[in-house]
Amino acid sequence: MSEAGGAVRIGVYICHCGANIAATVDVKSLAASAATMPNVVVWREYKYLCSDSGQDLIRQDIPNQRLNRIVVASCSPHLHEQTFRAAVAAAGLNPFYLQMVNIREHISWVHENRMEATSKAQDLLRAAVRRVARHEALERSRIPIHPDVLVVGGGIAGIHAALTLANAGKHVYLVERQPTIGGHMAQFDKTFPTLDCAACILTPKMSAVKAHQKITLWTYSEVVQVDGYVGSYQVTVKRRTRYVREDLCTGCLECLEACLYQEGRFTDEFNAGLASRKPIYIPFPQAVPQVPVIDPEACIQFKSGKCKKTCIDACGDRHAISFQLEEKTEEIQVGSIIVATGFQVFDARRAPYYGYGVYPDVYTALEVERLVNASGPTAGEVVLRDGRIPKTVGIVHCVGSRDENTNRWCSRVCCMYSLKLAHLIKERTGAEVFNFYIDIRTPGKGFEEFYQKLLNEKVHFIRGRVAEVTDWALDPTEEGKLILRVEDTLAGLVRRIPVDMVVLSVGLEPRSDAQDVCRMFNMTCSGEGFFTERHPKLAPVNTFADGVFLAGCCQGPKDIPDTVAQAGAAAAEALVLIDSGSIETEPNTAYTDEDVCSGCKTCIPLCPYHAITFLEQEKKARINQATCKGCGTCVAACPSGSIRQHLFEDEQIFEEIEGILTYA
Amino acid sequence: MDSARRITINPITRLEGHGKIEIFLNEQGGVDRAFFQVPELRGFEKFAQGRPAEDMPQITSRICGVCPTAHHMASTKALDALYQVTPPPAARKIRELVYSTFFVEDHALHFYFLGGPDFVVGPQAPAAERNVLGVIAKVGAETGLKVIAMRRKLRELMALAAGKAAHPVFGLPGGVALPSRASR
Amino acid sequence: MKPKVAFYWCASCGGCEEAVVDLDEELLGVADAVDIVFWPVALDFKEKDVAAMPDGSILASFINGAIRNSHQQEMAELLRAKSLVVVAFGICAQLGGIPGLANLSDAKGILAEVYRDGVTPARRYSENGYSLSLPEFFDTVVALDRVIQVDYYLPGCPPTPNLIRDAVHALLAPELPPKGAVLAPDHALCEQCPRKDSRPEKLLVKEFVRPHQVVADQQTCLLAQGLVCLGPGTRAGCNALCIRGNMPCTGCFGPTSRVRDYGAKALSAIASVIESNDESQIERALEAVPDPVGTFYRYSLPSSMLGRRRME
Repeated sequence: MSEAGGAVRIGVYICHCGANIAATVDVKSLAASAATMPNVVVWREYKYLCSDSGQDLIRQDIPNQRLNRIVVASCSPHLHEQTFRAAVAAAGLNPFYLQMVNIREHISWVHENRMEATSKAQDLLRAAVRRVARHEALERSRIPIHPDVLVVGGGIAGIHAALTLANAGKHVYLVERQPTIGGHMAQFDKTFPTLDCAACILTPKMSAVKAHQKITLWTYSEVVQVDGYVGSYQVTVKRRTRYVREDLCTGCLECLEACLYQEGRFTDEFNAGLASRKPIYIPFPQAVPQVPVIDPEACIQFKSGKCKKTCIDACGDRHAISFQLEEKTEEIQVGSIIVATGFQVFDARRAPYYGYGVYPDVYTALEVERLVNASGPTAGEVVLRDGRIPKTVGIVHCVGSRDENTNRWCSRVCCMYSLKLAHLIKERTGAEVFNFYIDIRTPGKGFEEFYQKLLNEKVHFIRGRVAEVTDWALDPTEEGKLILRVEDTLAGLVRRIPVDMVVLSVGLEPRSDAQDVCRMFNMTCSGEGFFTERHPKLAPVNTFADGVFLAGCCQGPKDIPDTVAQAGAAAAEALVLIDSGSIETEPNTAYTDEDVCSGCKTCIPLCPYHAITFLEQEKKARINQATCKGCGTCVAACPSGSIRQHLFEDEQIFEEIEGILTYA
Repeated sequence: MDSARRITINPITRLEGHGKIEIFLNEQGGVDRAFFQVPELRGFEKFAQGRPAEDMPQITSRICGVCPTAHHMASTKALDALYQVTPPPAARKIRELVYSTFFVEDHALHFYFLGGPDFVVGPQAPAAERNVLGVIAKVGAETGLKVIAMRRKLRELMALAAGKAAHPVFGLPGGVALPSRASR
Repeated sequence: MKPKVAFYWCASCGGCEEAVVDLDEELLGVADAVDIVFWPVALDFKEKDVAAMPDGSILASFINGAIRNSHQQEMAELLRAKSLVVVAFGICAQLGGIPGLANLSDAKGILAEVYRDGVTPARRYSENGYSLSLPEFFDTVVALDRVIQVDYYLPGCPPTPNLIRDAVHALLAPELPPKGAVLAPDHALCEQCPRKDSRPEKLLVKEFVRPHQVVADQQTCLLAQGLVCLGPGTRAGCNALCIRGNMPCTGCFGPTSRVRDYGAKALSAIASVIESNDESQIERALEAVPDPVGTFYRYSLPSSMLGRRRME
């Protein structure tokens, strides 16, 4: 690095960005005005500064003109700050002697009057020139990356990410809240649009997870605390007990047979409440791991302590079952984290006009997924609660989607799964099926063809949002039926369609604890609770927490192919991090002047990244330079001004303000 | 105007506050007109408005730093009246202790620093000696030190109960901020 | 010859004078070491005596009080000319102090309030052929360094005897402190607070309380008890007198050298402690701060970035 001492010599470079800037800002007169600004010794304008020849101007001027500060007036620093820092560094100057002025997004793209735009550009340029004179050389630091990865959530997203990483030789901790991995996909029968069997494609991957040497699988477990920073996260996982030891259980399931309850008596969550299970159970036959769970809320031994404990007898010499087992906590070290916590379906009770929970034969789509599933409660028979086979079925789209009163977003998958269910119901029952839709959205590969196929199958499509589902018959043909009242917007009339069965195509929404999860991993999320990616186009699986990546529906509704693609991308991002061994940090961090810190602790709880610790011995606050993201919260709050921030020093900011406020 | 006919005393000294006296003499050398100016308005009357009532004891004490306790106590009693609360006996005694201490201390200050030099050193003494140092010279260092030590103890006692001797902070509606205690 | 020293007061209360007297026995030592050539509260020297001195003949002038009228400005200028060193003594001279709260109004508003229907002071007055003048009563109170160059600052309302003694010694020492220095510690008051350790590491406050609304515990951090204690943002030096008196710090020592606007910083720090992101809850939490300007700018309004209220 060359010396930046001595007199400040600033080079100012103004980019035309083709016509993007030059059409609105008079770049020639802007360059001329730069000549009058303090310490400016070189001023140039150029058509495309980001081009190699543009950067060359800077690279050559630095040694030739003995420049020690550079101001680039062009586009947003988001786009090209790294480009120009690299150019500055290539000429031997510390890259943090660069200041950018955004005269494109902040000026040419938002203003029309050329004179006013140019005058504003001068003000911003003068601010940057004043500021850069106060810049100091800064060094980036490197943080080593722990090679292990935590994957949170064992749905198809988490499974795919974990397998990808493990196959690349990385050790993965896969943590799943439920007793089995598989997620929502495990509940489906067929997948759209190919109608291939969900279990056939999912269960081999589930088994592969269990068998993989590089994967530590913790089901029935939850991440409860995350400390540290990219490369070095300390994660606390709470492992609930199943009262069956995973290391001793062979998965023979004899204990299930031996349970005093002959029949299931308790709500079977996996079957969406359409079946019952025993106090000791596995969620479904292909569950991974094949280890039963005892539900202490249901088990006689836990409730009364007076059970004959036939399950223990059945287990015999294996001694896998113990009522004394307790939940435990594991602490692990990982370098990166993939969050794949999935979604929940919209609670249809929130749309009471559709009668879910009131009329027994109003179902949610997830319930019908279980009905049509060959290993479901009816072995794939689509039957009503009383066992009758429906002759007419109405499928109501967009329940809890695209709705001002519930959720405003499109859940993306409902059109296609509604078509799939319509096909399967018609196939199984021969019933007449009506789809009530706002728009049919089939933008995926093979989706439109599938829609055409259903049209050919004579499935009915009625365009209109259903007003209500009622059993109030107005004529004898409606007696004993559920009537859907709907405005058919294509026919232009209000219709009443009587059916035997109503299927509500419920939307996807963030899990109810999404905000807590978001905070725990220091991510950000949208108002509704979907986790926010760092950039919607260019960093779709990164989050604002370095080393934390997103996969699947926790980021937004998506179908299985998109989920798997995203999981692969998240795994790839984690691999980049691990294989580079370390990462460089931005030096715009906050730091405490420990000589003058009074130890008032104001800053400690404010840091969103838990980067500040209170040193009990010294009674001072210290900011971890690796975890600090440079958000400035503590800097603003520090009552005695003892926290400062690199690149945002008071002197620099005041120079900038004065630069703007100075009349030229 | 003949300057011999005009006597200006500027500033008046050995008291708290800014003052200036202008005396105009008549032909016979008698006083024709005398003017006393106090150009030290600060505007407490105005800027106290809009401040919370409970801040008044601390704000009004700044009317005078020589007798802050008087202003502090007056405001505190106004707060009692505002909130219609009567301080409990202990608080009342603490207030009286502070005020009585202030009373003695203020008299000592007045006697040795402010008014006393006129009597002890005398009005005819040179201006440079007509002050506390002159008083000490006159009464002797031993007595001077005794007075100073006594005043220091009084100020310490006030600080003990009122937080600060200069601009106390103990007055609250219906009581005091700090209970009495055996030691600090 | 002993070095000459002057004490003077502008818009002030005399508390800074008392603080000098509070040097007690040491005052005699100071009187031995220097010649006090001007000190209206205690000595009988007149303005004309000062005016007669050669320029630069006084080693140090300790000027307290804010600049409220033209006479104070003239006296500050006179003492500046006569002195090698000027010390802004006390928070009024340093930042404006309590008299600076008058910047929430203006000359017209104050005179109207004080004199009501009576005679309003006039700049010039003549009677029987004698003419007199009064100083101009400014609209805006300013700190001392707005009218003359100030070499050192001694904060506090009033500065404590310890700081005064140290300052006098510093000025008599062969090597002077750097120009512009505030002659007090440069960390916040928490450093000197006897209750420092009782502040929880993660202190967040749901609701603030006013001093008369609680019986404050005598051991616990006052901020942790919901009282708006400005100690974390206030320069140390007083040894936490108010807090030892079981009352919150009101900030009379001003900011540390690293803070430009005391009130803005204190406001930002106190706001940071509120445990809510909900607007209505925040409003409720701040109900106990009914007078932000009087709370956070009690001693520093004239030297704040805004300086005064903009009058309609």
